[in-house]
Amino acid sequence: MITANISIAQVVPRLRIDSAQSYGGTVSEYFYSVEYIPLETTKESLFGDVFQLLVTDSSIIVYDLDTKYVLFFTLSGKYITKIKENWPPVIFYDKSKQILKVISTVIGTNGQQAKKLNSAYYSCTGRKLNEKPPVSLMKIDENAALFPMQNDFYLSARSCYFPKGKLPEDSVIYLANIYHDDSLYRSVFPFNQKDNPCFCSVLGGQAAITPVPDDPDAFYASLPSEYAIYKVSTDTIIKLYQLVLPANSSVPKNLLASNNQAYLDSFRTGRGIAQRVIKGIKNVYLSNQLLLFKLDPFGVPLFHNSSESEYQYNFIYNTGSGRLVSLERITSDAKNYFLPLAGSFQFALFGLQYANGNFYTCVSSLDMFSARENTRSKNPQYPPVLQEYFNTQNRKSNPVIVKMKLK
Amino acid sequence: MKKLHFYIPAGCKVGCHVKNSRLSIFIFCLLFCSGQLYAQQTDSLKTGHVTGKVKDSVYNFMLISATVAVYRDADSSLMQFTLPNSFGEFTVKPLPLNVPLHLVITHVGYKPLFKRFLLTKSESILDFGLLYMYQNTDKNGNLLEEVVVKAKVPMRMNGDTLEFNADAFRLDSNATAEDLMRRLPGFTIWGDGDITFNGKKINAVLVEGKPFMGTSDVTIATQNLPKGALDKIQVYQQRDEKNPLDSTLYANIKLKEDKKTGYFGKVSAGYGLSNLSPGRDKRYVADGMLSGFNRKMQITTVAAGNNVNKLASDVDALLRNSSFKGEGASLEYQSNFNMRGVNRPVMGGVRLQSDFIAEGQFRGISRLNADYFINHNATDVIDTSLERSLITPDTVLSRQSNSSSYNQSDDQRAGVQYERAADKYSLNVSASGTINEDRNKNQSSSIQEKTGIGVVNKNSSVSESRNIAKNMQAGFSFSRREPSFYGNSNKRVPTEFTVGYTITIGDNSGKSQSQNNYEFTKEPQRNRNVSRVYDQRNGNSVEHKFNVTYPRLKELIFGRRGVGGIDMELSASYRLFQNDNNDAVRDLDTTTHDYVPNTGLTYSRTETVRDFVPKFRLSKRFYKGLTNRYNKYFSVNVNAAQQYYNYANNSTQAIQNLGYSYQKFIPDASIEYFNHQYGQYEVKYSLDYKTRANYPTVWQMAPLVDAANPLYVPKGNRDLKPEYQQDVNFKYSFTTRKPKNPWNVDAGITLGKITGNIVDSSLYDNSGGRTVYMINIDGNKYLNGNVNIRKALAINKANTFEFGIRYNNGLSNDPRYIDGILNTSVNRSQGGGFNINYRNKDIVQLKLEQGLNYNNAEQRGFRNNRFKSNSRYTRAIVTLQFPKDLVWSSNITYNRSVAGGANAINFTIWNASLTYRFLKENQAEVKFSALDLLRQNKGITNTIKGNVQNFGYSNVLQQYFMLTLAYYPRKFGK
Repeated sequence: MITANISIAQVVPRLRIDSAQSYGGTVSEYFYSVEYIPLETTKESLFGDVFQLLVTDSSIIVYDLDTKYVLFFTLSGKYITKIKENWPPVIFYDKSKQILKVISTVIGTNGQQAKKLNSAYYSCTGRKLNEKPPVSLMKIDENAALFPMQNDFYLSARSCYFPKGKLPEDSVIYLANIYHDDSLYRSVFPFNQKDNPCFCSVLGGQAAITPVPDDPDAFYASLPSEYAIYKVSTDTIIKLYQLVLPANSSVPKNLLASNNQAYLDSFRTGRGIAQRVIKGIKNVYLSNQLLLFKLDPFGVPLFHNSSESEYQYNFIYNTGSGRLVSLERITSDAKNYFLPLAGSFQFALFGLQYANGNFYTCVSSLDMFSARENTRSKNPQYPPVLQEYFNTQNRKSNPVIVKMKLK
Repeated sequence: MKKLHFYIPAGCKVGCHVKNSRLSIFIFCLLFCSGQLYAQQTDSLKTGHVTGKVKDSVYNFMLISATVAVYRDADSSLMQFTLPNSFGEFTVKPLPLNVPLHLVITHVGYKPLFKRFLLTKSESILDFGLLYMYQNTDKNGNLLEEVVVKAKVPMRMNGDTLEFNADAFRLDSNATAEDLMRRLPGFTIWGDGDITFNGKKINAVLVEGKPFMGTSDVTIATQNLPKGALDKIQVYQQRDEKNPLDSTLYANIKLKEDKKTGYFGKVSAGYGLSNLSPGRDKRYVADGMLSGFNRKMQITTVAAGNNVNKLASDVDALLRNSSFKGEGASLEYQSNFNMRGVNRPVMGGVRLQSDFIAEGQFRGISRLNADYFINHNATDVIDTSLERSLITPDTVLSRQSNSSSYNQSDDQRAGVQYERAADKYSLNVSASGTINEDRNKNQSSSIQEKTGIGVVNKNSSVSESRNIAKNMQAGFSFSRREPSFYGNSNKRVPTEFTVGYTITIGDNSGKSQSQNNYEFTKEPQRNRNVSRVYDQRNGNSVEHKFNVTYPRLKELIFGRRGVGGIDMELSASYRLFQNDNNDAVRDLDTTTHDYVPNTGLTYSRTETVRDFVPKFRLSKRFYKGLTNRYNKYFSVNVNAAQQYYNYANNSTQAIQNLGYSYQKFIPDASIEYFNHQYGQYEVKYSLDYKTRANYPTVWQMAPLVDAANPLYVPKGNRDLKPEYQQDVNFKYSFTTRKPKNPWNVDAGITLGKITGNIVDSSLYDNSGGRTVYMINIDGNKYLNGNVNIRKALAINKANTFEFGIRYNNGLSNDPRYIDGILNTSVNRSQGGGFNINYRNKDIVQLKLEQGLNYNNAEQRGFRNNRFKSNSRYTRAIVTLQFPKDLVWSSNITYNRSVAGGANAINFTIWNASLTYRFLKENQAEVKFSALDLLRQNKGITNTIKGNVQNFGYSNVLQQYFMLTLAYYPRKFGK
């Protein structure tokens, strides 16, 4: 087993991220296009809210926590099929093979605490595959999250998290392991539970992994409280950027260094820490000079839009000009028909999903229809798809997917 | 104070959350509602408005979380305020013309923006265009620490709590928290005391995160705390631990830092006369209340005394009626004109609440409550009554009686309760005691007539008694919880449970003496004269109650999953009751003139009851919800319980030695369905089935016969069996969930029956004497239903209407035997009424009420004889404040009742008062009241039970005039 050293090729750029100094603007300034894709509402396809969103080359996949289904829609929103999953599944999309691996959680019937993980393979349109799946997707590590790479490599992200009541172990866990077939190829991000109790309990103890668009061999990774962005590929790991947050937005040093488990346990629920303190960074995308990322707050994100600086979560940082833009501060205009750009709950908790050059999020029908009511005076020119949507649907219909192309 | 929190377990890799989209809808609605305050008087009917857009000066984004407010230049009073929309645009309206105004825009982290303006008839709309705001930075360009501009930001979302800033709203210097709430957008204060926010009822108004003055009555806080002591009013939702799908709305009043201690009270005394002629009675009233609080402790003391039937049963009632705001249109603490006799109550009490844990800690409560109340009442009652017993359709036994009695009761009650709750457990320890002392002197005479015969007997009696009852109770209840969160499912054996124990000790002692004279017109040989003394009527009892509950039986047996999601709970309760009674009776021997023991009534006995009920419960809940659309649940509960009941009575009177044991299956079940359609309505249906057994006592099975009373001979029945009661209850409730003009409907039906009902079987002799056997009989059934509809209509902020309609219907079948013939008493009653309330700000309040009641009792078994009666009342209450500080109040109630074939009885009670508040802070009050102005009060009783109708008059309180002076001492802060 090789433990790779992080190579720091040159001086890592330090990016100052201060949400109070983030810019806004209009949709036209930042996006080439914004398209709304209503998801078909029928008796069978009616669902609550988009809890997880995944866009493949041929489908839009949604998991709904209310009805507990994974729903498949075409790229234009037409309903295909749905699969029952009582617990939010983890879905991995192997773009090169156009296969989905769905890892479901099944509670053991013998009453034991350990949950069993079952995996099944589907096509992108929800058809279950019975034939033997490709070798790279077969491997399963019970506690791992799995990200397929090329040539039978895959990244397995582990967690050094330990729950309340359990003692931290004095052993090193690597948060990201790269396997080739069955054997471990490389491991990075070592953490010892005993040495880093805050990191492994209060902060979640796992790296946030985002696939690099159009590069199946690499991933962006970031660790809680470190605010650094790494690029991890089969043979290299490079620290791309070091984000610097204002002192009052960073995890307090005394908390990070604390060994007092009872003290740490009191912060597990996110209470007792200011809203503005950021745990980590997620949903990283790099596109030309633009770095997109989402800040993950300690506390619970707010469920309505706010212009207060504490409640900005999704950002675009222009590495050329150094300008920080907050996506929540972008105002809708005629380009997106004065409709909401994103549903605030989705946006705050999950950020944007990337697929094929576009970013995706969703808006509830309740928000769509309310916005239409409130913007009549602005005379929006809805495209045919939206006109039909507003004529045939109502505020209780399925949510609408937003597809944006960033400038 | 526990706020709404979504628990996101750290390390939960699949990111489990519980969302509350209701909150986002509630907030969503707020963002599109602007603050509407009542428009000031303007010199023209037209109004204007201003519009604009708010933007950050540097970073090119719209400040959608700003607060935009317009104030009047002259006195800086707040006119209107609003929040911008998601495009940063705002409109503030309506605004008066020709009045100098200024616009203030505030946002966290920014310097406030001021703009002066004047709207005129020709330019009534002003568009400010794009308004830029500048961040609060120091001279080096560094951002200053976030400082919320406290001055006058009317409303703000602070996380998920909505906060209103009290200082932003200018009100009268004597305004209370309730007056402020009335001004705030979204709040509705209903006539019956409920407060709703955007249609949803506010469950409690806390002060500094704690209940205020140990009461859940919102008016104690809202009507006493001065607006000037308030910093903020917060509104937030809190999840219900037991029912995670439900959330309740709370309001919290935060006091200013320097106003967290204070006291307030009322002291008043009044003197009056019963009428203006000589020989009039003097009337007096005295009331006092003083309450104080600091950060950890709250005390209330109350005292009252009067001779005008103003009674209060606890500290709460006196506290409620001493509020700084005045009684308004409340009739709660008024002279009770329906009471018999003239009462002279003296009452007083103290209540204390002390918190040992500072506010703000998660799930931590450590609180002590102590309470003491004393109630002394002396009454003189003069009664005249006519009792008619239907024997056969042609035979009625009627008894005309007159009596005068003096009753004095002294009740004292003290209690202490300690509550401690933490993450893993909760504990409740309490102790209380009561002492009741009753003294009674009575003198009465009666004449009984029978149809066709005339007078059959006469009776006169004089009696005196005294009784002291003491009671003490102590107990505790302890619950162990396993706070559940993801990752804590290691334990194989769930250890949640609840255990409780209470002990109650009672002690009773009494003495009495009486003289009774019986005369039988047709059978003079039965005449008697009895003079009796009860040297003692003592009893003491001890009761132990245990209960234990284990809610997670399913997990214990089946583990984490399985059994189709059905929950199982096991519980048991055990009650042991032991009662010792000792009566020693002596009767006067007319020949020897000595008091000789009455061996028939003297006894000493011990009664023991053992009641054990183990219970097994199955329950399941189905839930379905769609974010932003609805949430529904359906739950089913079934309880299988078996009662093991053992009764034993050992007495020196041999016939009372008896005992029995029974095992009875007493199940119950319930179904509930709840459907909440967001933004539209909420509806709940519930159906439940209950059973219980009622066990016969020794007095029903083997009563002691008083040989000296020939008019009533109880025979009992040793073979009496327990009664078995079953009922089915259906309830429906509907509430609209739109923010304006809510209405709600509540309805219910109960259907029940008693198998083996223990009733009398009476045999009447020719001279009116009655011999009574007890029997079990089937056929007792009852049905009753009711509907209640309420609607509120707010035409604008200043004018509100409330409408209510209610209807109830009852039917019961009561079989019994009279002279050997089965007689079923079928009682039907119907009643209803409606009320209309109107309010215009603080100035006018008008209430109109109409109530009706019909009763029909039919005796089936004899050619369906009927007793009918009905009553109705119409009431109007008006309160008018004009000019300022002078309140005119008047309430009139017209009563009419008709019984049997008798003439209707009408009377109208009219009370009026004039109250004037004076002194700088309205702290003094003088009140002139006139009660029962029309001098028509009559004390009438009109009841029907089985085949006996009772109709009577008592002396009652009548007209009086009174002048009262009151002073409200109060101080908040140092």
